[in-house]
Amino acid sequence: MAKRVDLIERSIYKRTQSFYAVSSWVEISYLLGPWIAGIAVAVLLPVFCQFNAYVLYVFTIAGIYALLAISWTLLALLRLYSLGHAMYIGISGYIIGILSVSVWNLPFYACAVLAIFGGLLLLVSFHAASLKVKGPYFLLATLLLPIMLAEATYLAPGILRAEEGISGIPVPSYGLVPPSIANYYLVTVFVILILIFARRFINSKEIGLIVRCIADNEYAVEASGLSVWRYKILIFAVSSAIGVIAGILYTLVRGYIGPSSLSLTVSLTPLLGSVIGTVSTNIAGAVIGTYLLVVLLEGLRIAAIYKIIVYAVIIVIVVLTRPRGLFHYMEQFYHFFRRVYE
Amino acid sequence: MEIIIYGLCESFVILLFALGFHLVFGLGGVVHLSYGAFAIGGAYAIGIFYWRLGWAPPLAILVGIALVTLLVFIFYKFLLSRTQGLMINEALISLAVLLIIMDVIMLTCGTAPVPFPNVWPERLVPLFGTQFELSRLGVIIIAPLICLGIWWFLKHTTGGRGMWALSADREVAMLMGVAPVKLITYMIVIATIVSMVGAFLSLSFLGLSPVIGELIILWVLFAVILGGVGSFKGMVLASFIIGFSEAITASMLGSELKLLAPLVIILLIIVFRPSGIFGVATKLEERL
Repeated sequence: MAKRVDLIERSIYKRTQSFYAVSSWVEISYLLGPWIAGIAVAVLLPVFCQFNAYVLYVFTIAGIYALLAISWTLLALLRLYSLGHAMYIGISGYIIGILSVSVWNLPFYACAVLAIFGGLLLLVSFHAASLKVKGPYFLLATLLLPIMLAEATYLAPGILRAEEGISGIPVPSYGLVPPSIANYYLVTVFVILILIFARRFINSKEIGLIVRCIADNEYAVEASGLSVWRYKILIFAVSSAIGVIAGILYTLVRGYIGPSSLSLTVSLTPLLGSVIGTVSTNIAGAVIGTYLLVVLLEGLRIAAIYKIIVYAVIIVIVVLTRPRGLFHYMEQFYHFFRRVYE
Repeated sequence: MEIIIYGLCESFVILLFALGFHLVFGLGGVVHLSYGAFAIGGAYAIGIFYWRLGWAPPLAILVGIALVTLLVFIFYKFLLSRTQGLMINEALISLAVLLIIMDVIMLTCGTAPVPFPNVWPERLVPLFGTQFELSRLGVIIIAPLICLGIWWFLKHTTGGRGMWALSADREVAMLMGVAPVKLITYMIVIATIVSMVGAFLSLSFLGLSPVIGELIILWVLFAVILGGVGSFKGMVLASFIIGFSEAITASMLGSELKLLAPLVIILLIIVFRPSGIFGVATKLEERL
């Protein structure tokens, strides 16, 4: 006998969509509960794992990939799917590497500021040049960028150090947060939280609406007297800025930048995290998806040499069987209950 | 003179690989990024049959081609076509398969080059005062014939015309009775066979190693983007541009940097003319 499953909305879900939520603490906590729980777990993680450096390192890297995933979803908002997010890490990492190790010996904070400006300039000028590129062309163009940068490292082996990469990038010796892995972890968490709330702010503003319209129909937006060019550049700049910040953190945590940081797996991780997390451009879904993916990837170390194969098989299974993303199923679990007919 | 022969040879090798990708991506619109990986995986299968199991070269080649064709058929039928044309999912699945194939190759054969059965007798031919391998000259003779064959196939058979129709307008083609998934399945099989022919004509002088797999996918992407997606003459012209620019850079800067000139050309094309040299598909959209 085949089973049939009905999804029924909880009545509290229906009520909390309006002003009823303000009138009672139960309903407010129903809405805010998942957020508060998530934030609490994220912030208190160092305490839970007793400041275990390895666990914190994994979660810091996961957070950096989550930042890249946020940057990726911003571009996906314009229906531009990038396959070259390793480029963001590569550009900012190499700028820091050149300034602090291979050419000059500038202190870290100076390098970071210069990396933000230099990286933004380079990335935005690339995106400005590729404004007309859409659809599969954008996919392919961004796929080529990290390969191009990796190739370019052979051109200047004295500065970019070709295959070995630049290692020994110094950590900041002074400043607001002392250099320890727990602090880096908290920095990634706070940046992600700020971005999640900033995105809610953008969503409700005019600009969110215009960007969605650009994805649907550029001609209509252009005909309404708005400059498509300006809004696209704006989204590119914000996305690049987040990517560059992620790149700086990545270089700081690993202390190394090289061609391996430009590989396809690095570009694929934020993309996969977003696709596994959510089908729409929901930042929270993308962040959760990326954390799951990176932790899973780290857990796959037990599979040793078959790691990549297991990883790829998981990608194929998730893409084929959960096309709407895991976040969607988590939301369903929270807001609906199931009635099963025999 | 040497540059002309080497450039011609490089161009025809690129053209051989690009022909198949043109059928699948250029006309069919399937983002089949594991194309190069399948070609190189098949070449490795042939290499293993020949080198580890000691089979005769013709048997190894036939069994290798049959095996890879079957795998590609299964891959398209049961994985790629299930994404219903969602571009990002197609790209993800084909990249995942690319990772699997490359990893299996690394695990079984390592990164060192593997001997590949040579279809030509190893002989040097004196030409214009220098000596050339017979295999290079063979590519220059056979590749144009295969190219003409595919051109004839696209122009004069029902399947080929169906592909043109699909690339021009998918919905109208479906209304006229073209079944996209069925047709693209045939095309992907033909493309794999063409790429395998390209592989065993060229690998005897390129050498068989995992790097070649990445090189193939870069070449075909270059050729298809540069020429314009869906344009046959654009693809042919682009193969020649890339082949000669590679030959010239290799002779001036050394062979490790030979991809640099094509990369710069691609960047310029993306900036100034995203639809490629002969592309018409997005010409209207470029005005914005």
